[in-house]
This record gives sequence, structure tokens and C-alpha cells, in this order.
Amino acid sequence: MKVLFLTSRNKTDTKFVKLLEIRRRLKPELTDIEIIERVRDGDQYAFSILVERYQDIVAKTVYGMLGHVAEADDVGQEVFIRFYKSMTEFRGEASLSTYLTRIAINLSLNEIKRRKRNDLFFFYKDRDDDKKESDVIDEVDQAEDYENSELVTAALDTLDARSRSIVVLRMIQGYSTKETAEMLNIPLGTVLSRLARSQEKMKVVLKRMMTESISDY
Amino acid sequence: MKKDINIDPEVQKVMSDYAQTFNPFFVTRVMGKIEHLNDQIYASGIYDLFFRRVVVSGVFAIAAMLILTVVLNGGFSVDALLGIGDLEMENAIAMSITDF
Repeated sequence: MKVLFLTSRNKTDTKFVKLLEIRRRLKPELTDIEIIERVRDGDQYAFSILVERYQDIVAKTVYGMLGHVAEADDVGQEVFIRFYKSMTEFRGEASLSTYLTRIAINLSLNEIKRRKRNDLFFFYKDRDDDKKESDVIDEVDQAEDYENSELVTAALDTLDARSRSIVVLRMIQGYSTKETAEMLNIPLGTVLSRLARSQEKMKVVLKRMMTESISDY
Repeated sequence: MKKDINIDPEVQKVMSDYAQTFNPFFVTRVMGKIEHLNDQIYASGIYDLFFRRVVVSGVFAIAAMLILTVVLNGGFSVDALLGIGDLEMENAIAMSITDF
């Protein structure tokens, strides 16, 4: 048992050292396309540069969509693994961040669907998805201390999955309304109407932080 | 051309300040999974190659035996397939009663 533990630990350490060496060897200023070329040529560790470069963008999307749940980390890993598998199809027409965000949104929507199926099967009722606005406001009011990310997560909780994806793309990731519509493959009018409704819903929850930040001045 | 929505600047500020990070060692975990994936691809490649070779050799062997049967016995009778097409009844009885 001890031997096994030591072996696996050594293996992890070796991997870590390998990654550090590669990061030192590869210039950080390499473009995404140059790194992808290296990975295609068989240097799989060059991929770690891309993961490091885009993990925060993917984290914002995945956590925005799913909230603070254990599955968010797994979905984040899956985003990069999907990209690694489909790297031959990536021609660089769209930016890599857009490509990864699109994968992250799709996988998050799949995860939400899977959760709903499980909840239906096991009759769970205490899940955080699509919470009622009043419940969220109560929770926020009861919380003594809160951070921006907690409040945004609470505000996003009041929205359904589709509206959440629009808000994440348009307001968190900063894509234009047109780009959001294209990425989600829905009409521009739908994006606009859902965005307006979502904004009104979220304002109620975000009001507390907004008024406090005004009073700070 | 549809008019874009007016986003409340305060809401926008709160939303754009939203920052999230994955658990520590995220990159190492992703790379570990990719390594595992590559190992799987390699292993399944070897298995496919081995399996294909066995199947192809087997099919060729069976085809050769069938052709040989047709050439030697002029058909696909059960006796021919069992290799006893030329065996006479008397010989068969003699073989069964002979103590080797």
C-alpha cells in the first residue's frame, strides 16, 4: 500500500516537474496557433500553456453557468479535453477563447440537463437550479458578509439555463449581443428580450451590493 | 437593424468584476487526463491492429480451406468438408474394428 502510494506520488511529482520544465522551455509569448502546431507535432505538454492561458475564461463561464458546485471543475477539465480531441478541426477562424467558451457553454447546458434528469429520477427538490427570486433575495439578505462572486452567483441562480448562458456571454465575458446570438445559435431578438428580462430580475438581487457601493463613495 | 439593449452600468460593473478560478493544480489534472487519454488511444490502436491481423489471417485460412475442398472434392458436401469424402464404408468399418 505504502509502495503504491509512493509510486503514485512520485508519478505526480514527475509530471509536475515535467510541466515546469516545459513552461520554462516554451516561450510564453508564443501565439495560440503556434502552440497548437506544436501539440499537433506531438509535443503534448505544450498544451499546458493553453490550459493555463484560458483556464480563467473557462472558469468564469462554467461557474457562471453551474454555480459553485463540485461538477464545475470536472466540466472545466472536460472543456479542455474536448478541445484537445477536436484540435485538428480548429482552423483559427474564431479566436480560441470564443471556441473554448462555446464548448464550455454547451457542456454546462448538458450538465444542467443531466442534473435535471437525475433530480427527476431521484425526486430531489433542494437543488439550487432556477431558484425563486424571493428565496435568493432572502438568502442574500440573511447573509452577513458576501463577496461579489457570491452575489453574482446568487443573481444568476434566479435565471433559467438559457437566460443564464446569454448573461454569461454578454455581461460576464463581454461579447456583443450579435456575437452572443451567433454563439448560441438563437435569433438576435430572443437575446435582446431575454437579456432585458434577466437584467431586471438580477437587479433586485444585485441592488444591495450596488447601493452599498454607491454609499461607499 | 435591431437596437441593442441598454445595460445598466452598475449591473455591468458588478458582472464584469465576477472572477472565478478552478481548484489548485487544475493544469496538472487536465494534463494527467490527456496523458491517460493518449495511453488509451495507443492501447486501443495496438489492440485494433492485432485484432485486424488475426481476423484477416483467419478469413484467408478459411477461404483457402474451402477452395481446396472444392478443388479436391468438387463440392461442399458435408463429407467433403469433414474430409471423409473418399472414405469407403468398408474401410470405415475396418478402421473402427482394428485395434491399433
